[in-house]
Amino acid sequence: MAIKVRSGGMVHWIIRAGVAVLLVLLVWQMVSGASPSSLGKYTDAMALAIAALSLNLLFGFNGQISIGHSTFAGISAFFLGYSVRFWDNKPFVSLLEACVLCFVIGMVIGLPALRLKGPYLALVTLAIAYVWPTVAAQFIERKVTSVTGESALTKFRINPATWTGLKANREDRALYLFWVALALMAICYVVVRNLRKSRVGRSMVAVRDNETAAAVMGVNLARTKTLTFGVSAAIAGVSGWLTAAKIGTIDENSFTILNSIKYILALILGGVATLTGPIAGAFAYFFADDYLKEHAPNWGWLPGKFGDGPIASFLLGVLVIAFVFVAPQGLVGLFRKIGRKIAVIVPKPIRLDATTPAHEAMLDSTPEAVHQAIHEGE
Amino acid sequence: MTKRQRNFYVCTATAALVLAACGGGGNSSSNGSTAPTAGGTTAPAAETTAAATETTAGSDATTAATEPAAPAGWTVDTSKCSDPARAEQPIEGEVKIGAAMPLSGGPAAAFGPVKDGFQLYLNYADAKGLLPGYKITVDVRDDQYDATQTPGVVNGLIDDGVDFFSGIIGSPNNLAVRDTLNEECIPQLLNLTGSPAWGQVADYPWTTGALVPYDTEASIYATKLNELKPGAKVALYYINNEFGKAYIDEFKKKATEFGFEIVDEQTVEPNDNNPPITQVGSIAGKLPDAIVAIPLGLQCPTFLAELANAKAQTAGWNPPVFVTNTCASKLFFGLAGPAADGVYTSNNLVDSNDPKNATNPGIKTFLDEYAAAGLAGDPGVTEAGWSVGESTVAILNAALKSGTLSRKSIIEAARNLTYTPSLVRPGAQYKMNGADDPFAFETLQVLQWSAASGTFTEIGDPITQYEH
Repeated sequence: MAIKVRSGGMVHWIIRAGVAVLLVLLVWQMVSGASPSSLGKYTDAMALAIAALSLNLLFGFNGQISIGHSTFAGISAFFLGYSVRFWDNKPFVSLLEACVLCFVIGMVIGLPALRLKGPYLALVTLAIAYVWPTVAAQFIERKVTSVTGESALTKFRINPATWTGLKANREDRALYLFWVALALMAICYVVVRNLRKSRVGRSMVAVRDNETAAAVMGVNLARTKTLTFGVSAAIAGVSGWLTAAKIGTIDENSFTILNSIKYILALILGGVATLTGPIAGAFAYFFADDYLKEHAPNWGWLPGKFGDGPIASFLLGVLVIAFVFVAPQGLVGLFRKIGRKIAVIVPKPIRLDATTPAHEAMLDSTPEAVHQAIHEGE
Repeated sequence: MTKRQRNFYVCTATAALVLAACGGGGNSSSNGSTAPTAGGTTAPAAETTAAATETTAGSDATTAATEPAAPAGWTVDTSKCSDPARAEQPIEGEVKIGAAMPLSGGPAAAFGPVKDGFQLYLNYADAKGLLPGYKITVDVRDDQYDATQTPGVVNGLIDDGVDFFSGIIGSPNNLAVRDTLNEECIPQLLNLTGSPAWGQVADYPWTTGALVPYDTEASIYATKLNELKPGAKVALYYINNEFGKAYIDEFKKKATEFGFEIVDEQTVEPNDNNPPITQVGSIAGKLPDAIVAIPLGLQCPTFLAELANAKAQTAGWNPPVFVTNTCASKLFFGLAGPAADGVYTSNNLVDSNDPKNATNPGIKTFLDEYAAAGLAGDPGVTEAGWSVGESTVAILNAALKSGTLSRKSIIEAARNLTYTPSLVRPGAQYKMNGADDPFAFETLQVLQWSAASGTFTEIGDPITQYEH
């Protein structure tokens, strides 16, 4: 029998504090004694998490599918690379500008979304993802190679701010970028969370669930959809900025449709339309992939030629398919399912000073009791 | 939760994060685990896009490896290194070589054999004690031919203590780690790509390439075409990326010089392996005197097959075709069948596929080890990896002769070395001379493929004029 915990009550707060402490310990564990390559992996995973967060906003909360989010990440990455290298832009200024740019482009690209749905919208965004590498290649050829002679955007690396006391070397840069990534991920999470819990967020979900009903209720469909697309694109831009800052060299193949697929996978693994799902999914996907690539080629028990490199991709695919079968609601859904067996959070009564039988029944929390109490109250 | 409660919660979490940050520390020691790569396995060689120089039919003339001389001359400045002391610190007992290559994903099928050859030679050199007093270990990790993954792979290898890198595959992949490796002063030797970018000694002293620069190869084709058909009308067909453009830009310069007329220019997108019907149709419509083609991987046989169709429909039209040497493997030309017959290409390695080279001591050793390791498939691609491994050990021996083996002495040896690897064709050699000659290999033999015998025939003498 699961323990009942009243929402907002003391126990609930203790649980929340426990989770917060665990998170802090987790971050502590990540950074203490970590090598630059491990920190780099966390940074990569966080960049993926931010992209998944952006896609979650669009797909999870607004029901619009996009396979073109890698393009927004690419635009932002190119903006960082080009503006820092050629305009001497400050990296963090370029982040803000790139977000605005992605927001505007996202709004424009979101326009067809007003008329298209489901697979048709997916097709439009697929085209965008497909076209991007060619556009990027042209950009590099005309604006970069003609000046530097190089086939990629380079030399825009972000060195630690002087106030941090960190030096401009490999180790310190990795640590610095880790903290930047963590801060950006936290900001993006808060933005998505607050947006979801606001009036706009409720409009988004209403549009997702039933457009007609939402329109009848007074939701401005066009505004909600394009705005969501814009905000989502801007957040994807943050992910691209972070990825570019981490790699330090980008070309037309840095943000392809495969990146979009990874974003979608991370989102689905974590749990669509959940707030923490994208982050959990991104970490799970990234580190499963990393682990398999490192260890799978050496597993002697794999038969014959299967012991070779490509096995990692194969196993990852199998793992993803199996996981989707076992936990269709994603990691967060799975944890919730398990968590519900241990403790159930029951909503607090609407007004404690006017307790009704229904409220009391809610605290008791069996559906039958609530039902009965409501009818008794009538 | 009220606003005040929430604010308190957020503040507490933030404060805890800041505390954790202070305790995190900056410089950290390595605690990652190494991933020894599986040796003795071969990726299925089905869709090879070998960026490494393939082997081609060789002459009977065999070239024994020469003893590398002790380096002298060009020296590297370590004062700008992030850790100058580490760059000069002697390497003792064991030398660890790192590389990033595609081991999974699509391109793994093409590049797997290169990794096999590379590891095969280094394991062989270790077993035979070819680097006296040192154990040689090699750690090749997977970047899936994705330049966004290469920095992570290389960072991991640095953390795990590799002394230097050799044979990283792919232009964008090498470019992605060049800044880091030069800043850290870790040698990035023998990049398996022919980008002219590896010749920037002043800016990137720690980076060198293994393949003949693509622009040199293009010049060689232009020169040969000028001999065959002076003032020819030429059609160009190339992959629409940096790889294709490196050739074409140089070829166009030479075309102006030799007075060729470019009558058509067709491109193919990097991931497009469909038969290039439209492109070849356009080329055939112009009836050029010659065609220069820079496709990649499976695009090689599809282009040649489509061209054969066009030729069959246009009586009397049979122009010479020059194809990049990244296509010049038995695998691709074999796939194209009769369509590849008579195609011109080039190489600087002796072909291990050609039975007449079986007596070549270098080829014999290679094939013996190849068979002993249980490898199968196209040894021509594996041979390229073996050759890079051999040059790597030659550089190490040269560095050792200078007194101490260190990152500094390794790069100085690499840039001051003249040496003839066992598998190169007569006339070709590894030759670098500081800033004066920043490319290791610059000699190519023009070859023509014979579909009937499945071998290459040498056309003229090796072209050595680009050697500095």
